[in-house]
Amino acid sequence: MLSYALRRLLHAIPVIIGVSLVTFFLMILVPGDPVQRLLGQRANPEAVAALRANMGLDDPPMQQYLTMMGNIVTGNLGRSIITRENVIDEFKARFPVTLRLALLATLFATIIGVAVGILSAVYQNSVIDRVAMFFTLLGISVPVFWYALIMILLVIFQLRLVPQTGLGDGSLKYYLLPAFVLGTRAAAFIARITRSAMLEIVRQDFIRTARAKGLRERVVIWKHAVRNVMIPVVTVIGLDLASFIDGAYLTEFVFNFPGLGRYGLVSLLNRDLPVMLPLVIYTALLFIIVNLVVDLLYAAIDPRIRYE
Amino acid sequence: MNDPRTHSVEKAARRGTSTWAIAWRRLMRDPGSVIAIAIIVIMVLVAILAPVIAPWDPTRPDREVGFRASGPSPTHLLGTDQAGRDVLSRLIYGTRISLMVGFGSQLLSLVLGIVFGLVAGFYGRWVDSLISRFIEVLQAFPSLLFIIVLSVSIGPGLLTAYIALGIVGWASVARIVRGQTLSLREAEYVEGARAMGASRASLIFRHILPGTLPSLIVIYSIGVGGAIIGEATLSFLGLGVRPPTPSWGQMIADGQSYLTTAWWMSVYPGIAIAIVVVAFNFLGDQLRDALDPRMK
Repeated sequence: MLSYALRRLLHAIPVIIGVSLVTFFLMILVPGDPVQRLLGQRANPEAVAALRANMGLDDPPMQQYLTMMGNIVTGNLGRSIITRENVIDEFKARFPVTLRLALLATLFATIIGVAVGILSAVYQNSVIDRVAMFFTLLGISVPVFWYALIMILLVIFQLRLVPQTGLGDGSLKYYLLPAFVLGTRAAAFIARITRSAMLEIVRQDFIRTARAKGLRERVVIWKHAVRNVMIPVVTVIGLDLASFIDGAYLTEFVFNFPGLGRYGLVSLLNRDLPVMLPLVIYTALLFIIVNLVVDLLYAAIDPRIRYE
Repeated sequence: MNDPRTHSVEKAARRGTSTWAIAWRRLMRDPGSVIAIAIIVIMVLVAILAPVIAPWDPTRPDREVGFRASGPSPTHLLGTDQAGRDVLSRLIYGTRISLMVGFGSQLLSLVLGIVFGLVAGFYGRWVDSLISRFIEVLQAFPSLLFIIVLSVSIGPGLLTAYIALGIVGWASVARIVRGQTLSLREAEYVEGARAMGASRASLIFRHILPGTLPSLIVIYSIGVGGAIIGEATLSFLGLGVRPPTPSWGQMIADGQSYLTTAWWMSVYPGIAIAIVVVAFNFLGDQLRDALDPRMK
C-alpha cells in the first residue's frame, strides 16, 4: 500500500508541472506591469528597472518559470503586490481557519447527506423520499454564493442567531453558519449517491438472506446495508472535492471569512501575481493528496480492496 | 407482459422505431420531464422576446421611484435596484446572457471534447497518452480557479465567459467519448463495417460517433446548467459581461450591499437561476434514464 501511495504521488508530479505551466502561461498574458503597480504610477523609471531586474522579470520566461517553481518548492514566495505582506506568512496564518471550516463542513455534509440518502432509499417513492430528492436537486442547482447570501439574510439579519459575518472573536459560533452552507450543498450530492447506492444494495442476495432468516428490518438496514453503502459514498466525497473547494472559496468570500479561500479569491481578482501561481499549485496539490487519501480509505473500509 | 410500458416498447421495436423515439415517448410520459422541457422552452422564448415582454427598459433608471431601490409594487412588480432600474425587466434581459453562455460554451466543450476524445480513443498509443495526460491536468484544476485565472489574464467579458466555461467542460466530454470509442471500436457491428471495407472516416462518423450521442446529450444538458451557474459566478465576481447589460450574477452582486434594505435585488435573480438550472439538471437525469439505462 505504501508503494502504491508513493507511485501515485510520483504520478502527480507531471500533472502538477502541467498545471503550473498552464498557469504560468496565463500569468504572462495578464495585462500591466507588476513592478509598476508595486511602486505606483509615479515611480522613478530607474527604480522600476532596478526592481524588475532584481525580481528577475527581465529574464527569459523559461528561467522565470524555473525560479518561481524553485521558490514555491522552498516556500520563498516573496511579497504581495497589493498588501506588501509576505505571501507565505499570509498562507500560514489563514490555513488553520480554512481547515477548521472545511472539516466542520465535511462533518455536516457526511452526516446530513448519508442520513437523508438512507431515509430516502428506505422509504423509496414515499412523500419523504420525494421531498428529500427535490431539496437535493435544488441543493445542486443553486449557486453557492446566492445560497450563502440567503442564509446570511435569514440567520444573521432576520433570526439574529449569530451577530455578524466574518470570524468575530474566532469562536465556534462564527464557523457554524458558513460550514453549514458549504456542508449542506455537498450533502445534497452525497444524499443522491447514497440513495442510489442503497437502492442497489437492498436488492442484493445477502440482504434477502438476512431478511429470510428473520432479522429485524432495523438490523438488516443498519448492520448489513449501510456498511456496504459507505464505499460509493466515500468515492463521491472524493469526486465532489473539486466543487467543494470552489464552494469553499465562494463561501469564505461571501461570509467575509479570513481564510485561504477569501484571500486567494481576492488576490486573484486583484491580479496579485506573486500569489497566483503558488495558490493554484497548492490547491492542485491539495486536490491530488485528498484524492489519494480517499482511495486509501476504500481499502480501510473494504477489506476486499487491496492496492498493489 | 401486461405492463403497458413493456408493451409499447415492444411495439415500437417491431415497427423499427429508433431509440430516440422511444426515449422521447418515455420523457413525455413523465410529468417532471414535461415541466422541465416547458421551463426551458419558455426561458428561451423569454430570452428571444425580451424587448417585447419587458415592461421597462432594463438599463434606464425610473425617475418616479427617485433613482433608488424601491420594493415590489404594481408599477415595478419585483421592485427596482439601487439605481431605480426595474428588476423584472433586468431579469428578463438577463435570461439572454445566461442562456447564450450556457448553450454556447457547452457547444464549444462538446466540439472540443468530441474531437479530442475521438482522436484519443481511435488512434490510441502516444496520441492517447498525450491527450489523456492533458485531460488529467485540466481536471486537477479546481475549475473556479482556472476560470478566474483565465478571465483575469485574457480580460473579463462575454467572450471570455464563453471560452473559459467551454474550456473547463471539454475534458469530461473527451473522457466519455474516448472511453466509448475504445469500447465501440471493438464492438461487433464496427468490426463488421470494417470488414466490409468502410473507410476510417465512415467508421468514425457513421458508426462510432452516433453511439456516443446518448451520453453526450446527457452531459450537454447537465453541462448547460453548470455553465449557467458558472456564468453567474463570473458576473458575481465582476468578471462577466460588462454593465449596464444585465446578468443574473451581477444583479445578485449589486444587491449584496442592500441585503437588509432591498432584499428583492438579490433574491429574485437567484430564484431565476435555480429554476433554470433545476430544469436542466432534472432533464439531464431523466434523459440518462430514458436514453442510456447503463450509464447510472
